[in-house]
Amino acid sequence: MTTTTLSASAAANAARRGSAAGRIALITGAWLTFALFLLLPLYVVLSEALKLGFGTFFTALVEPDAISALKLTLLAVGISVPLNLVFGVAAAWCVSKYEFRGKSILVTLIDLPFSVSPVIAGLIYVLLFGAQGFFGEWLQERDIQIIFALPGIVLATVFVTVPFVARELIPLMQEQGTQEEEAARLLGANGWQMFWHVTLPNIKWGLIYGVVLCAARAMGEFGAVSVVSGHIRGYTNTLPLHVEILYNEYNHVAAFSVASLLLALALVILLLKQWSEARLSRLKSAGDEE
Amino acid sequence: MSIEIRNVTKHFGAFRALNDINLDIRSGELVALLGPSGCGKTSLLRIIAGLETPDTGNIVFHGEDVSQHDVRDRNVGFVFQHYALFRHMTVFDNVAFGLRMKPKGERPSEQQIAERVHELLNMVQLDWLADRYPEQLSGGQRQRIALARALAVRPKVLLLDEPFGALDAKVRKELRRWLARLHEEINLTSVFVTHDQEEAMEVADRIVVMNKGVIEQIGAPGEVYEKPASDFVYHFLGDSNRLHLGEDRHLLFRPHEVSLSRLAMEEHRAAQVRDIRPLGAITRVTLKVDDQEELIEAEVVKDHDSLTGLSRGETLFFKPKVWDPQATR
Repeated sequence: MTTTTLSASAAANAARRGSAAGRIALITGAWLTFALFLLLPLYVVLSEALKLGFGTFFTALVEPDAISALKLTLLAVGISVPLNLVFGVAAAWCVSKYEFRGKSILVTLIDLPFSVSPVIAGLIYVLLFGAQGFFGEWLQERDIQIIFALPGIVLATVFVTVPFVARELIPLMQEQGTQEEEAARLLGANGWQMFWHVTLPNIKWGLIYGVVLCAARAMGEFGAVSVVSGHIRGYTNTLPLHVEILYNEYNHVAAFSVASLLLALALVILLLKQWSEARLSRLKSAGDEE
Repeated sequence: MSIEIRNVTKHFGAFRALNDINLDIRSGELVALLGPSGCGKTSLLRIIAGLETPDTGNIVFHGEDVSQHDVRDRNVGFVFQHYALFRHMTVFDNVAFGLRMKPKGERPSEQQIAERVHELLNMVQLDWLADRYPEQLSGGQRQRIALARALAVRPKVLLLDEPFGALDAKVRKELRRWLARLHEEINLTSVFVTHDQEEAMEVADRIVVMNKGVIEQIGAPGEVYEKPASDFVYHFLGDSNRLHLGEDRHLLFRPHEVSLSRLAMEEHRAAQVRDIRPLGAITRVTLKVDDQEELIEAEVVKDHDSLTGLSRGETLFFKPKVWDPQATR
């Protein structure tokens, strides 16, 4: 080995040592940040919830208002997620398989809930459907209650979660193109068969991923729902609102107990997300090999 | 089944993809739509299939106007350039798809479907791949599976969009010979789109040469090659040389249509040798003529007298074999 290659390899080693030190510093920094901003709060939530023992913890969870909040939250998620699933698939289909005027405006509008503050979204619905609102009188005459009731909560939740499914599917479907659908039609499949046997299996993992994100957001939504709900205990309180009320009443143990319930739901969703994401990336890498 | 294309015009926005196309395809014929990219050949194929609707004009299958028929009802087999195999289905399920989509009354039993699928997979010599997924196959294998899938529903017409376009040269050659043989066997009216003149010449019974949305010429391979109807067809169907004769007149001739000599001969013109390329059976000599920039390429058999000991920079004498004022285009 000549001296030049020797010194070159020494320099490379030094660089590797340098980059190794940098790598360790960065990874340590990432873990510290993670611990400080995520693990510590998690620990606080759980330790506060269990401060007075498991008994008090469970009492807070099985208390009628908490149960009703949980039910309402699951109901709102159960209605808004399927709605956004249908809307998301339809919108993504429309955007990725057809050419039409105003397409880019539609895509921008789908993103609107990301940029509008949820509180504003809630206020819009109050202004539209509230007693003094645009449709208020008409609704009152027919005795239809939207604001301070389930429909308002669902509407607000749907609004803030609109982008999730569509956003996930549009790039996926655009990348996949329309040829497989054309092939299916040429082979005699009708519209429904084509969707069911060709399109849906191709977007399955993206769809599940979008739905999981959508559900997570729907469950945790606070701002928009807070404005339209009216905070009627046992009736229009969702879990996040219930946590807030308990906390404002200095009932910290109960507040953190209910919060840990939300946390548990979030962890389940996180696992689902991880799983669907892994399937999705495997699908994408398989597609790239073509 | 014969196909008649009557006065078909198609625009995409302001772009005119097809302009008043008329074409008769006879039953059992293998026709190539040949032209450069953007000439409208793929649009025409998609219109025949029903994947695109023409602005005006009609498509007639065996005397029946199918212009208003949906893709599903036209009973055409279509092979896409990039195969469009269903990525989440096995090879078997891909081929079985068309049969399984039939309405309940016409649908064969699963056993009959399995028999038909294996028959087709045997025909394309890929029965051993039945359980694989498309991503596990090579390009040539995918192409053959796509063909088997298209044939499963016993179409009356087979349409192929650049069927060999995405394959490497060797597989391409094998596959197109195989396709020509297969066409002989099953005798299906077939139309394929290509931009490769060699492919069209080798496979097709008739070639339709297209350019800028119109048909330039229709004819048997020999016919379009020997008697091109326009300069475009002449250039598109093979390498060509242009020799200027002065006063805007020029002569077109193919590299092999040339006589070469080391000695000055009657009617031969002098040229300087720029390059000598042995290409197997033939050798290509690039020549520079004094009064024109465009180089002339001449192809002669490799043991031609004029090549013995020839090196760059020497002078050769050449004469296009079509030296005839009538041939001036």
